[in-house]
Amino acid sequence: MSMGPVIAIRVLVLLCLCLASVRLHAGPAGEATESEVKAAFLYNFSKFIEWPETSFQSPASPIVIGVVSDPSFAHTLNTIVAGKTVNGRTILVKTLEPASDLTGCHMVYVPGSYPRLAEFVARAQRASILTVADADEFTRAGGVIRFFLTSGRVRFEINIEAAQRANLRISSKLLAVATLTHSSTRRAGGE
Amino acid sequence: MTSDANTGIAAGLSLSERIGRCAVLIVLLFCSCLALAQEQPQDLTQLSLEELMNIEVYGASKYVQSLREAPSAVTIVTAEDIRSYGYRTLADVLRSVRGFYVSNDRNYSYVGVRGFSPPGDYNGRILLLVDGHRLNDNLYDGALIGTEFPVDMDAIDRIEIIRGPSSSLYGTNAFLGVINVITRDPRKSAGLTTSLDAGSFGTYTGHLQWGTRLPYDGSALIDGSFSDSDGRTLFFPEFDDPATNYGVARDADFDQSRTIMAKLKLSHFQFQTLAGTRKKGIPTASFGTMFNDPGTRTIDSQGFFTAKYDRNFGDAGALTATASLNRYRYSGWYVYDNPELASGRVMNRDFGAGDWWGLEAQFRRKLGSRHNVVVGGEYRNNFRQDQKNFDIDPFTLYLDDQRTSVTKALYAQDEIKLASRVMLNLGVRHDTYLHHSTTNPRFGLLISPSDRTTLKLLFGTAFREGNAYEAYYAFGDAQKSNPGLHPETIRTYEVAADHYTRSGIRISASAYAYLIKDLIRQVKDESDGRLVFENVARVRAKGVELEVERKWSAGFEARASYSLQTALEDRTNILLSNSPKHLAKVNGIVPVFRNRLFLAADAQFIGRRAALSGDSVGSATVLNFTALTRELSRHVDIAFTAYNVFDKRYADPAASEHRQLHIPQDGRSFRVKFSYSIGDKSK
Repeated sequence: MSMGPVIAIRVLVLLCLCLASVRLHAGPAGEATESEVKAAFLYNFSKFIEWPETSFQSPASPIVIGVVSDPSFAHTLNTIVAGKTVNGRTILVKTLEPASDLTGCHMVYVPGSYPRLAEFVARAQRASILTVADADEFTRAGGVIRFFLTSGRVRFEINIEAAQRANLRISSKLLAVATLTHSSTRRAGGE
Repeated sequence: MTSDANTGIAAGLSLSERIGRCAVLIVLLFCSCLALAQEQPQDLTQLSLEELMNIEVYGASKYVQSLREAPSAVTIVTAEDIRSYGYRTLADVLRSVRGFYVSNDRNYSYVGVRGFSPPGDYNGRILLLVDGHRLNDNLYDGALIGTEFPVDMDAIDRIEIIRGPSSSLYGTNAFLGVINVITRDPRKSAGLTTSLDAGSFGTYTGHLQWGTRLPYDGSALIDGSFSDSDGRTLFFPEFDDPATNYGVARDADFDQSRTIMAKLKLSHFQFQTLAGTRKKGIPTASFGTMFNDPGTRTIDSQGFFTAKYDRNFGDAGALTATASLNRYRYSGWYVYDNPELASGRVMNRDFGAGDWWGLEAQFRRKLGSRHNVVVGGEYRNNFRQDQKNFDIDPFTLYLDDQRTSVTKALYAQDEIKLASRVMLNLGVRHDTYLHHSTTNPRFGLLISPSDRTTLKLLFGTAFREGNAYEAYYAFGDAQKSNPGLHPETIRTYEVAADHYTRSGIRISASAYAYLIKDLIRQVKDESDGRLVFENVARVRAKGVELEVERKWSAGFEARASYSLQTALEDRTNILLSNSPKHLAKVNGIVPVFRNRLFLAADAQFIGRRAALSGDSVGSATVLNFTALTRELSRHVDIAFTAYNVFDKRYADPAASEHRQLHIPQDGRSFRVKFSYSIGDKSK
């Protein structure tokens, strides 16, 4: 009679236990899902961005973050910012559809790819909304902040001109750790 | 639990009882892993920007996030895995993958999954793709996964292994699974890379690749490799006779292969061509050939050229259109004993020549906020499907068969967001052949109760068309053709769950059941005593799989899997040949010195398998061990692998063309590999 399978199962059980219990110097920050890290960044952005006075009705009005077409991310963000305040303001997370009215939002995040970037950016700019997205072309299309990944870590680039056009002031602390970029000038004739 | 595994026969009731018991065990394991894996969530908002920037996200680099949305249980093997574990061929890769096993008869490698790998089958129930392009040939449906695979292991970026039926997208051959080999993208690693390795049995391999980025989002890549092996001197007790060199086969196990590939991408256009050829000596005297004669050998060559247009129109959708030209050649040299001739021997030649061209178009578009639609069509024109067999001297023609055929197909898939955490994936494909057509659906319900957990409920059917060899190959009084074959079909039900813990552990579990009808199998026609392929068999199978994987940021990683499967002949409840009930895999990598030197171990257990004759081959555990450097210097890396470290003696079941019932496999062997690269590896 072959004992192989029985041994194999025992080895597996043992391995599961080891995998689950052993903590090998996982670094101070450990690991998290991409969504969680991005959500934490959005929370941080709200600390380092200054909106025009007119963006808020009162000093106690919440900072409203809209998430386009991704209720699952909105849920993650909600968990992260729950109970947190920034300069005395609470944070409110809203789920948006691509065509939704952006009025009332201070920051809008577009996860994944998104086809109508230019139109979206133009709408957001008029309302002094901080736009954040993952799409490759985003900052070149006039978006303010774009997330990207390098060796498994989340990084972001900032288009300062776009921020200025939306009347947003970005803290130098945030600029210090960001990659800086600008809008595409190709259409204006040459790179 | 294994009391009657030796007999290879099991009664249906006790079998389902045992499957039930094992399922309970798996669920318990899964739960205990989940329970143990729960750790205190960290509050990410307490971290500084710099700290946030240093968090590794496993969704990105380690596990490809979109896999969670795939309507199948998928495994990814990366270039780094290939290097770390010393995989020499696609067969080596598949051996290490959950639920897969590979057998070898010293001529070809045969992949098995979900307990299905009948001896003598050339992998036609697996669809093999290179960069999404079909490689299975149009004569034998062959998916060549050993040294005959036409892409070098060092040219691979990653391998996607998709379990279950995918005929709803790919048509024939996507029966038990799909293997998509994705070659390197020079936009990610431009420059020159080269490697040389030397191994046991006089094996030498070399690889050279050069890639560059070009303007207009373009890139170019050229890749080539060679491999030469003297092979082993082998002893087969079945031939232990003075007339056959006392069972010792010398210089008959050689293996020589060459591959070449070129890719060019410019703007929306991509061109790719590749070709590979492999010559292999057959030391086993298969098909009744003379023993210990190095003249008996097979040569397999295959390649393709594709031109692809790939464009994203934003809101209006995305279009991919591909035109391809494909070629496969098989050339067998078989030396037979013939006492009537002065030379005492006669050379028999067996040929297969397949050529086909194809057109494919696929259009993808978002409809509203809920639908993600894919529609596509495929046309394949097999303008050459020739089979020939003759003796050279005296010339005797046994077979000269020439065919052509055409396949057309249309398919559609809709990914529907039913609710924020519920997705429905519906797909259907209609394939038209000359005399019949077939429609295959796939249904997947994907539920994510949280960001870290996905549950998949899957159902699908698939088919495999009888191939030219099965339908038209005939040989004198021994084998006859059967043009009346119809497709064999499979119906699969599956439940799969994936969970990612906060500490970077991934736990996957799945359970499936399938039923194969009209399985094409070679049988003897009692009326004339000739062999013929017929739609005769039905196979029923069930199985469960569990996998646990953990990656630590310090470079440690470990993975373990176990699969239990029972694949039975439908009416007799006899276990299929070459179908192990138990498979287990464990592998891991440990950094030894400053993220420069690593040790990797890769162990595979395969349970007892029934062989053709009614007996069986015993279970075996094989351990491979690699010591490797990562960025030893700016340009140089070294890897040393010991295969089958414990020198385990084991065998694979032989198909009916062998006098041997078992084919012994390699004992301990070694390989040392040097790599040299210049160029930037940014991104």
